[in-house]
Amino acid sequence: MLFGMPVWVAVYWILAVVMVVCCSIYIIKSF
Amino acid sequence: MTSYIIILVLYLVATMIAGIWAGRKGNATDGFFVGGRSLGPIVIATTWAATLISSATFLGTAGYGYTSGWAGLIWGAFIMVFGGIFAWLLLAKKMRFLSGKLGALTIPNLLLSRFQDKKMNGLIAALIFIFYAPMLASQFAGAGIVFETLFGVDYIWGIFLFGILVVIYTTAGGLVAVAYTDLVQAVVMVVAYVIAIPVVLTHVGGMSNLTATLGTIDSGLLSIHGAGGYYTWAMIFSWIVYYLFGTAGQPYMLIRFFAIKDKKALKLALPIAMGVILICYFGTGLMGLSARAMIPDLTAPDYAMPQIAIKFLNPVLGGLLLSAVFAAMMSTVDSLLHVVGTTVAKDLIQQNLRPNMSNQGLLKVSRYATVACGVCGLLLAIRPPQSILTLITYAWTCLAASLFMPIVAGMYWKRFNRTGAYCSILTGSIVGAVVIGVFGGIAIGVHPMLIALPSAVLAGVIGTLITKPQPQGELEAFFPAVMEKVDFD
Repeated sequence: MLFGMPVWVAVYWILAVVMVVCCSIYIIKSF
Repeated sequence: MTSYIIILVLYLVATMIAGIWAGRKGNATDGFFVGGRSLGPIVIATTWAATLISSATFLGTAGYGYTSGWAGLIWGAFIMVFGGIFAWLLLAKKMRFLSGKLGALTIPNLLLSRFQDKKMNGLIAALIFIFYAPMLASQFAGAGIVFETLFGVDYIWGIFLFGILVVIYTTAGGLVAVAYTDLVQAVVMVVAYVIAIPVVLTHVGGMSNLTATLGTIDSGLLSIHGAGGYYTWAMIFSWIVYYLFGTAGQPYMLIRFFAIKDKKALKLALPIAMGVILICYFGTGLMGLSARAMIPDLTAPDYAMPQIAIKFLNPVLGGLLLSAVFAAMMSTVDSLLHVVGTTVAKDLIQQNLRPNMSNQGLLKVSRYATVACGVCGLLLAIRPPQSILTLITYAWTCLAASLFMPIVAGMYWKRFNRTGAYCSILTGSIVGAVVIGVFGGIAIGVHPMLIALPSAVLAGVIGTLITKPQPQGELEAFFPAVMEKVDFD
């Protein structure tokens, strides 16, 4: 377990948050 | 139960007030159709998020979490976050710029400027009506079932109470009223979850304890393929395609891009919307998982979330969470109703029957069309289909497969022409409907979207490449060389 979730779910969450942050930064910088 | 009803009535009154207050701004044609192209970042973000979150999310995601475990939460719904980001990155800026420049009021109206074909405009409008009417009816039916199950209100009374309320404010204020009521609805959903998530986690003894309990019930609940193994790699890939590309083919979501006020709203709305969506999806899924741990013998998994609200939360918080269910339904129904009503008025009636109609006439016809579509949805909902969530999924699949290429390739690929668009629209809708009709929910091990969408893309590409390009003169307005340098109006 990681953060109380199955490891694959925690990894998915981390990737999801990183992707949302990266896309938001891209949109704020380039749009 | 009285406390739940009081909270729910308060929520409905707040929604009505917001709708009527905002509706005063929707008295002009562009206000009714595209929110006067004046919605700021908070309103755009919340209307985008609230529209994406439907009854399928609030009831279905909790149900997926209950039956399949963590895999149901992640693959059954959460991947939709990426669909929202994909559509925003690809289409938001272009659609806002082009719709403002060309004066487009609906998605088919914008595509008319691209393909210069009135018959195609009528075809797309008809498909929007054909596929969204059952979705509308399904959402009405969902509301009726929730009223009946939770409050003992007769199903017919439930759908009419819910339907009449939504039809009134949508007809009064168009997209402005829809967007501001969506704001209220998003606030209700976020507040409900921000309070409910820690309370429910306390009940189950924390996240680690929840996961451990689920593991003892069925180890499949922790698996990447879910309990019962529904989420095979092929199905996981199907759902990724379904959500990732599906949003970019949905006019009821994309019309919000037309209403963006300025560059600030364009830049800030996505992060805010994603925050709302992440909280709501996680909260809903967690309710389903917690229900599996605390009420393992639930006969209707779709009601996992309302059951948690009633059995484990105090009446005020429980009432707020139940109001959030209605908020999710209303925010999707009003958007579907608005887009169907305006499309029928603008693209079917004005384009084909009354080309010289004035703006005031168009506004009046749009209101009549919105009421008529609402009545149609209510009548269809009197005898609801067996599986509401399945019908929503199928309608979403067929329309997304039909419109993905005309919208996305139409925006980016200059060579893409009328023949390609026709091939893609017809292939997407026919293949989608046939595959669903013959195979149902799973066709040769994958979701029907994974067959319908690639078929439509392929047909669009072949149709384009074997025919002549569209004349350059028709494309100049749609592909300006200096788009990036042109600011909003």
